[in-house]
Amino acid sequence: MQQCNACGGIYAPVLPDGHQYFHVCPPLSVVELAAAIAAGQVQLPPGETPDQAVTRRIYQRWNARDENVVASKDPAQPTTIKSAGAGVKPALVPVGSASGGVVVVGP
Amino acid sequence: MGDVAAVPLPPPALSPSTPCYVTGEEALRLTVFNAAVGVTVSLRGRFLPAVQSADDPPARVGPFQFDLVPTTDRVATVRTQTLGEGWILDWSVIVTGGSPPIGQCYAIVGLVRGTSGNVQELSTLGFGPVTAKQRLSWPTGVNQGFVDGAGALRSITGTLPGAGAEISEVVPTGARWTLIAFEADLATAVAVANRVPQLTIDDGANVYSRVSVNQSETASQTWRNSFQLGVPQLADLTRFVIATPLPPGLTLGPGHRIRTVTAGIQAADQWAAPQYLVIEKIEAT
Repeated sequence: MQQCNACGGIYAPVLPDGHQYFHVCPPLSVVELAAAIAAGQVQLPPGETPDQAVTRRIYQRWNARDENVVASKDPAQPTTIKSAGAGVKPALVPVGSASGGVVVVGP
Repeated sequence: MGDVAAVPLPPPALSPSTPCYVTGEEALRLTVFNAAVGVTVSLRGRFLPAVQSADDPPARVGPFQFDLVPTTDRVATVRTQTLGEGWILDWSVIVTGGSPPIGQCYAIVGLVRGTSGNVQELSTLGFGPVTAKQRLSWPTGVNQGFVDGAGALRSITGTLPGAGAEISEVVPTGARWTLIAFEADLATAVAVANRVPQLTIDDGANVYSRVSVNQSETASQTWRNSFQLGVPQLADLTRFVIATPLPPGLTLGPGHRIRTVTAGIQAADQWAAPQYLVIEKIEAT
């Protein structure tokens, strides 16, 4: 498991079904948008609340990570990810757990 | 007749019925688009070399095989192989390593001129999905386009977002999803507020579908929000399960997003355990 430094999201780079997972940071939530407004980073149209704004527009964090690949037109060239953003770090969370002889399967 | 160039032909007894004659300047090219890890794809077949002169020994049919380990990002991985001068009699493509589900490994076999640099594609001999059991073959066999067929059924665990953040899952490059079900927990903090989640589908910039939960989710609970095909909108307040119907046949292209947008979300609220079921097809770009 790894954690995105931009959004704090935790994810597995390879899923249990053997597929690579491509993390993309979510847009700002109402709470995050309100914090950005309070910090003077965003200004809403007059009379609009953060609750309304997130349903009308998408507010992307400036250092967002997007692990989806950009394919080169030349198949011999390596692919690159769209945006490294703020990078990732190992996540300190257990993958599954076992306690009292009970194996927990699933989230 | 002495000035006429003779076309090299195999002995009549070995004259093949295949039209695929190659001069040695052409090559077979295997292109694979793959999403599963640990996959090796093999192109196998038989080749009848041309007899170049009367002094050469009689031509014999020989087998060929070359392998390709494709990337897992649904982007083309290519291998080009020359066989010499003669006739390609038949070939098949099969997965010889790993076990990708149907629709997650797609092969194209073509004839090209040159092996590196500016390779020119001359013809396409076959295309379709391959697995460890399902072959793509030539001259017999059925070609199948990228988004034809049933696709792969995938149950995907999404990103656990940070506190106060929303879930956002993106269709990867080279994939096409049909959304069947989406579930996630919303653990609400002690802050008093009515949270009303909405599942929003967008094309990466513009929203084209939304379904809202018909329930205010209150403080200090864990609400299982389940968006599914074929369910009525209902709230089981004993178990805190909220079911909301999804529009049928919702097909998402690369870069499209499945997101929660939660009215009234609080800084310490936590979305968790996002799990969703999709039919995935490879859609090469």
